[in-house]
Amino acid sequence: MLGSVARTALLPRTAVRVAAFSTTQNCLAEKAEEPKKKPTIWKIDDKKRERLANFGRYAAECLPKFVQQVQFAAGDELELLIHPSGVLPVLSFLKGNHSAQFTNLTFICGVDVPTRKNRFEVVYSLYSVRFNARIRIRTYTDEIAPLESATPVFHGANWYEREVYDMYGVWFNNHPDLRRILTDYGFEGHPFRKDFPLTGYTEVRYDPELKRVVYEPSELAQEFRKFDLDTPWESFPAFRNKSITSGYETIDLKAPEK
Amino acid sequence: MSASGVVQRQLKDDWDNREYEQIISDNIKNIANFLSSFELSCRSKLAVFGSSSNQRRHPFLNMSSTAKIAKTTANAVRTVAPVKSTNHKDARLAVLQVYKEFQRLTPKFWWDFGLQDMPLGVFRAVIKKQFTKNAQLTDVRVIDRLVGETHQHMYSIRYAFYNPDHVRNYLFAENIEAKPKDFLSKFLNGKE
Repeated sequence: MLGSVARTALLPRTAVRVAAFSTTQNCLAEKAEEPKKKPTIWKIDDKKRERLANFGRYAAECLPKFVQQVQFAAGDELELLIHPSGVLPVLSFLKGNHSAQFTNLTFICGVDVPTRKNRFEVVYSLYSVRFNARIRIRTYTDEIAPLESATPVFHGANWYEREVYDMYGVWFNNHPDLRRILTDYGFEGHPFRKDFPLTGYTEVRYDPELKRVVYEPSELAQEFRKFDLDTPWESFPAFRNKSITSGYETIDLKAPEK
Repeated sequence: MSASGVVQRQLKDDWDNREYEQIISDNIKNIANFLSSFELSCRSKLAVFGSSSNQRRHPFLNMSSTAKIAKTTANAVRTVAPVKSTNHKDARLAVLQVYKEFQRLTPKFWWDFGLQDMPLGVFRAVIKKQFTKNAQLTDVRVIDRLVGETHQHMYSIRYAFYNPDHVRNYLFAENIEAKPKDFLSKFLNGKE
């Protein structure tokens, strides 16, 4: 009895308060969230990021011999750094594992960092259509050490590897047809290497005596001319004191405690 | 009156410009001096460069100096993955094998690419020279890499990916003059 009186006395007030509270809350939330929405800025999905991190840990646990580090680049792009001997096992694991199904090879590309001991980096990017997820595998090599070709796992790797060979001179073992793809037959050097001269090693002209196009070692008319192509302005002053690896976030391979 | 005025004005202008002329001629002399000294230094540097680059290095070994230093220091203890062969004997066998295969291909190569302006024997010797010019190589990995590239060359020859022009440029380099070796020819070429 007392309880019901009390309830009737309280109910309208609480209801009113709740309504007032909820409306103000909604207004506040709208006002607070409105300016935050920036359609041009990629919003990181924390749940997906967590799932990717878990998958990275799982992959590192399954392939401890090859995976050296798991990291996020640019916030939510998963990267596996692997030993060069593990290209085929890692790729076939990612393609065949039921919880991954990275069946689509997006690209293979090379990177040249001449100051490193293994100066070339080869990056494989995969896409899982089933889970709408992407992953990158990065490995390293030098001028001569070969990598195993990915063509037995992904047929699409054929031309990408030819491109990496053409531009950087990375050799792929057991590739079905490792020829140059972007430059001409008889081209000298690998043009994306940092030490490839801007003028190339050879120049081409038509020789009227031999009646054909001939190659000659390229010679500059002004031998000692220096081209200073750097911009006089600082490109990224906000990152002046940042390390080159500061954009990466290493994932701790131990599972988070709950 | 007006004509004499014009002449007078011209004379005055000439008189005023006298100093500028002096300055300009001095500057031209300076520039000429600088150019001649620059040419001298260029010539000496070119001569040094020419003598040092007489023996041409292998393209794989053309890396930046930093990388080279890192490599030479690391070579002593570094264990590396083999390309194909694990020791020198294997590499040698691979070279001999690919050489034989290439010589078997040579008659077809010679005929298909229109190289009949020389006898087949001479052409065989040219092919052999392509192998013997790398005789000084000792690194097994470099040898294996070259063997792999030779296989690619043979493939491209068999399927006619190469044109006769590519082949002639690559094998003979007829248009490139040999670098002057003795003093007199160097001098005549303006190198010394």
